Amino acid sequence: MISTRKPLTISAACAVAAILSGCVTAPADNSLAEARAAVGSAAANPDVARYDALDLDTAQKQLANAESAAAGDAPDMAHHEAYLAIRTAKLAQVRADQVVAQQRIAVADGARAQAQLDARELAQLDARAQLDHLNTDPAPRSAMLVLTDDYFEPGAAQLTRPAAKILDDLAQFLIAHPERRVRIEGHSDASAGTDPALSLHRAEAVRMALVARGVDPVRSEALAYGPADPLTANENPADRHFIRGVEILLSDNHGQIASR
Amino acid sequence: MYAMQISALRAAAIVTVVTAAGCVAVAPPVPIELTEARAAIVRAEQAGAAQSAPGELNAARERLAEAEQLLPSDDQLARWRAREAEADAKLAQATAEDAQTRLALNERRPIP
Repeated sequence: MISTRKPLTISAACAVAAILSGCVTAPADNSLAEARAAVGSAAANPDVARYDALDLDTAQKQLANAESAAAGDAPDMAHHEAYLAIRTAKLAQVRADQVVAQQRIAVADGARAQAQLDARELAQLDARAQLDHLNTDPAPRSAMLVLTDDYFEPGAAQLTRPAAKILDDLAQFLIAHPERRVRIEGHSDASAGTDPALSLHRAEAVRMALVARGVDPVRSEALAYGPADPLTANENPADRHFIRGVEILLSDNHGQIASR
Repeated sequence: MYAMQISALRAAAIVTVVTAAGCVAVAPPVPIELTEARAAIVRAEQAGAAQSAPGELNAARERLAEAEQLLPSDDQLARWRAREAEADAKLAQATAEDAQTRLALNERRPIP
């Protein structure tokens, strides 16, 4: 080893280096003890063994190199290897911690996606249940069906496939009951960046979908409310998917639509 | 004689420098350890280590500067310092990346 061949040059350089860098060079025996502690603590961390065994292995080899250099009377090399072992052991801990945090993020995102999915399914279930009730209601009364925000493409008036299926059934119902009229009311919220005309576009999209399915245009009308008159109160986040929805109001047998 | 050494022993230039221990004027190529340490520091900086891991990043810069100072006279020690600087920089980068991950995790709390 070069360190044993010219120890004077290296220890002189070490001294210069220590002065230059504000004494980063600790005595070799101290750094060796520190390296043993750092590698020991990384090895005792089950997350490190699980998620960064590679760096842990490197740190253990560096510590072994430091031990044998110290035993072989090569203090500079021992110090160097001990320093690497300390840094690599810490690296393994940090990387393992990061993997744990990443997994928590994945769990959180999964839970959030599931919650959104649940709300969506629940909202769609509601419209389906309303329609089923309409079909089985023995007394033809004025009724209401809500297509929530989830039935439209985000921020757009375009209907989703589940909405199209609901409207298939609603059109069939209207064709079978020609005495009933329909009023379609769009709603919007006060949130910034929302197209103020979106509620009207959505209401008209629903009306045109019914017309396209064979419902006489004179039997339906579409209108919209502004942000000042939301479908539900804006303050409850759980109701958020009802805001920007479209209400479909059905008349009774005499063409009377119950006012809200 | 000197010119002959350059042309004939170019491949063994590093060995010549090491064995002659400071008596050779041939400028050796920069050791790979220094190049790698510099690259590691750049990666740490790009990961945001200046904010998240300033201690580790500064340690890396100081050790690299040491390595550069040592280079003409003490090749071995320069390589060691460069390797240490690289270890500092890798730790700085990992610490900065971990900080970013933690920030993203905190944004997701409380979990619904």
